[in-house]
Amino acid sequence: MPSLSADITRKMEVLGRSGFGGWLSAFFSPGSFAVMVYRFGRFGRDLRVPVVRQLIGALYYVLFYFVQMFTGISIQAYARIGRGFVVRNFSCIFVLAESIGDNFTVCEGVTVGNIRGRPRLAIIGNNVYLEPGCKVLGDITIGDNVVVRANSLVIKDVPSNSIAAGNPARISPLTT
Amino acid sequence: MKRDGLFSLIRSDIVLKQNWFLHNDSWFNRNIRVFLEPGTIAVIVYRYGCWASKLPVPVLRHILLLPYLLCKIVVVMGFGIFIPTSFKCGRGFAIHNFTGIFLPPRVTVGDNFIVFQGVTVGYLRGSNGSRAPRIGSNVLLGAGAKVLGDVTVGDNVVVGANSLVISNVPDNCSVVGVPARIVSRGENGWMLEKAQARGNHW
Repeated sequence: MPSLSADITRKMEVLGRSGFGGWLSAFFSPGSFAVMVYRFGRFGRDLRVPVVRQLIGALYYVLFYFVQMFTGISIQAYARIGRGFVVRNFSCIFVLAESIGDNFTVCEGVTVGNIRGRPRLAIIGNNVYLEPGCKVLGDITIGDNVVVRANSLVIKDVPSNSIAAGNPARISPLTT
Repeated sequence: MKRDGLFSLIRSDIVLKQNWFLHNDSWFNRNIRVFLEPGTIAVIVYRYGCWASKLPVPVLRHILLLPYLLCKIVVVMGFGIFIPTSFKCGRGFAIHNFTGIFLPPRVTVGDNFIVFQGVTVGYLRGSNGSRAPRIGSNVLLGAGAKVLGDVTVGDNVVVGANSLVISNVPDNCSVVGVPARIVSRGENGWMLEKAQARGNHW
């Protein structure tokens, strides 16, 4: 699948590794396993063939359960995530959104989810980096080229080319 | 300065944990249950890995590193504690609780380092070079604290729960908040006393 190889390539970039050793270390990491299982579940959900779709769905749930149990990464196949999706570390990661753009990076301790009582989920643009421990909650829109600093809480819209930090997050323009 | 052996380092870790967390606890908890905690197991595996990877004999080193790798997989997948052997820590390293603890390679930490759950010490995005944090002695990182980028944390520092440290922290102070601000200065000599189980600091 082309999107899977794009994920691995981008993970090598993020880790700053190259060559075959870099590919191995990017491939055999808990985050990459979770991304692969997510892509598999998404592939199953997009299928139109009835029986194969249910079989792939059943296999996906088993894989999803094991990934969740051993790595603590829970990425629901409901979300549509673009190319170059990187889970940098593992444990305490929960990602559930309406749609997520390309080059999305998640570190450990990140929650993207809904606020109690509101059924809608977040819409996230391209080149978004969620640093360790940040929470993005509710039916908000996050633009392109956004960095959410570690341990921040984002419950309001974030415009493009900005950096969100603090609890609750304050927005400032992205300088780098 | 003489390099400490494997068992003296592990003993210093256990003693720190007993002094800090289990000072008034029962004998059973202090001496038996402390070895069953995931944090203690992770620290012992890390110390063993450091010791085994520095052995001068090549074949023996590889044989002794094999159990380390297996134990490391258990620690990483089972407990969610990631400590590579290139992380350098002095005497006394206690991990309280588990999951989501990431300590990066090529970081130097002083003596008596205490880590709670959800702590990340690491690089900022896009800088995988040499710019890792430097941490002094007698440092406590509270639950969920993050220390990121090219910063220096001094001696006798308390980093509060869920704080984000992205600027330098001087000696003898407590920091809290996202991003962290200094909330109190001085008066942190109690940390060393508590680490050595002197005085009554509760």
